[in-house]
Amino acid sequence: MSRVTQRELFEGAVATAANFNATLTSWNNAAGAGDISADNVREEGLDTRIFDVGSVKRTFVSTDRFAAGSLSGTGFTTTSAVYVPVNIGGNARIGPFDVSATYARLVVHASFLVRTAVAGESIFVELAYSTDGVTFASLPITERVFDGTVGNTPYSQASLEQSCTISTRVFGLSATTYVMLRARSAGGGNISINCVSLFGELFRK
Amino acid sequence: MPLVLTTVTNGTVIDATAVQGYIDQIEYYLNENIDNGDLDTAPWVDSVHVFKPEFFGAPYPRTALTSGMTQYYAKNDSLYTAAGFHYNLGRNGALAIPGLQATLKIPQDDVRVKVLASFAAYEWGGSEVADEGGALAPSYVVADFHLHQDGTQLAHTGRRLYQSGETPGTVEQSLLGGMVARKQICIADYLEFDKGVHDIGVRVRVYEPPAVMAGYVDWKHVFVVQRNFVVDYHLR
Repeated sequence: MSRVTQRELFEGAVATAANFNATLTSWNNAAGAGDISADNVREEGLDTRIFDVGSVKRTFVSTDRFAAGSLSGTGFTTTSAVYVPVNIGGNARIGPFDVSATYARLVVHASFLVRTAVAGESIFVELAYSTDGVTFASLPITERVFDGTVGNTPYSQASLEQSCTISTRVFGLSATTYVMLRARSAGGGNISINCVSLFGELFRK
Repeated sequence: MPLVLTTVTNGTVIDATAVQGYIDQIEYYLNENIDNGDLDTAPWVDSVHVFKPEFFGAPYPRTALTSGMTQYYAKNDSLYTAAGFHYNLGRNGALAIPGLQATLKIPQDDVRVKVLASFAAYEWGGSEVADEGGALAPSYVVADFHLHQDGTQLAHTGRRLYQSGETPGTVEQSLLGGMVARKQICIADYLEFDKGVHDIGVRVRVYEPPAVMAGYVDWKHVFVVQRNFVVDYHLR
């Protein structure tokens, strides 16, 4: 509490030291070290400009990013029928993140270029998670399927190459959670993943 | 600094000078002498105490918050707002696409910036068949797109555009060949900036068309429509 209460003075009343001191002491008690608090700031009274750099608590506590590939290269290619890590100079993997706390939320984005000449639903790409960095399991509802369309005479190949961004959130996992981008070929043909950006922000209340 | 008013005892003379002295002390404290030592160190600042976010409209729509900033741009599918490009405009140079650019004023070092770009693009006016090449080897590439951070191309954000079909000459072609080979393109990345004014945006590089016939080129113009660009960053 940091409020000032002034002792009222009345005409004709005896002015005592106690009366004056009540007011002076009230000021001293309200304006001492550490006395200014929420009672002294009106709603919306604090403007953004008064906050010093680094004075506002960050809502995210850790981040990580994987970025690799270029249009001048092929990127990652595979014919694997089972999911394998997208690897361009290293596995497309981020972490570890501590998402064990009740209010911890890991927001993940994966943006990439995908290409194949295999007809039909031939490319499967998904995000996977791990609690040890070794064994990965699918993150629900992050799988994306891509077509390769060929031999469309006289219009030849089209719809071979597409870009995609997968976004999701992860919570309720361990203190060492990893996220990976991985892919597989459904038709046994060669598929390519290139120009990958995989990043995550861990938010905590 | 804390305010300390000297108390009195019975018999102390309180004249105009004494009263003015107290008033001066209070004025000085309230007007200019409150410092961080006067603030309660227990957490007491709540969201209700902080001035509400400020929303700004065109031409650079953005939301300024205490802890960060969000900038967002959107253009619809209309040809009237399409961004059009031709090889002769850039001559292998990367051209900034209107509506997919942002200028950031960053007040501190090591600021993480999340960039999301989503748009559609197509070539139109050329004379070839739609062909993206076989297997993993691209062909007939008309243009490429990259994010640029302060003018530097980010190689890992590359996206490609291929040419559209030929001008319709048959019934079949009227149904299919005349359709543009339109690509939906998205790029997301997470960048780091230091204190200062910075630029971030998507640029297009239109490739030089091969002249397969005298005075005739395979592709003409590149149009970029449905442009959405969101830049979000945390401060302080």
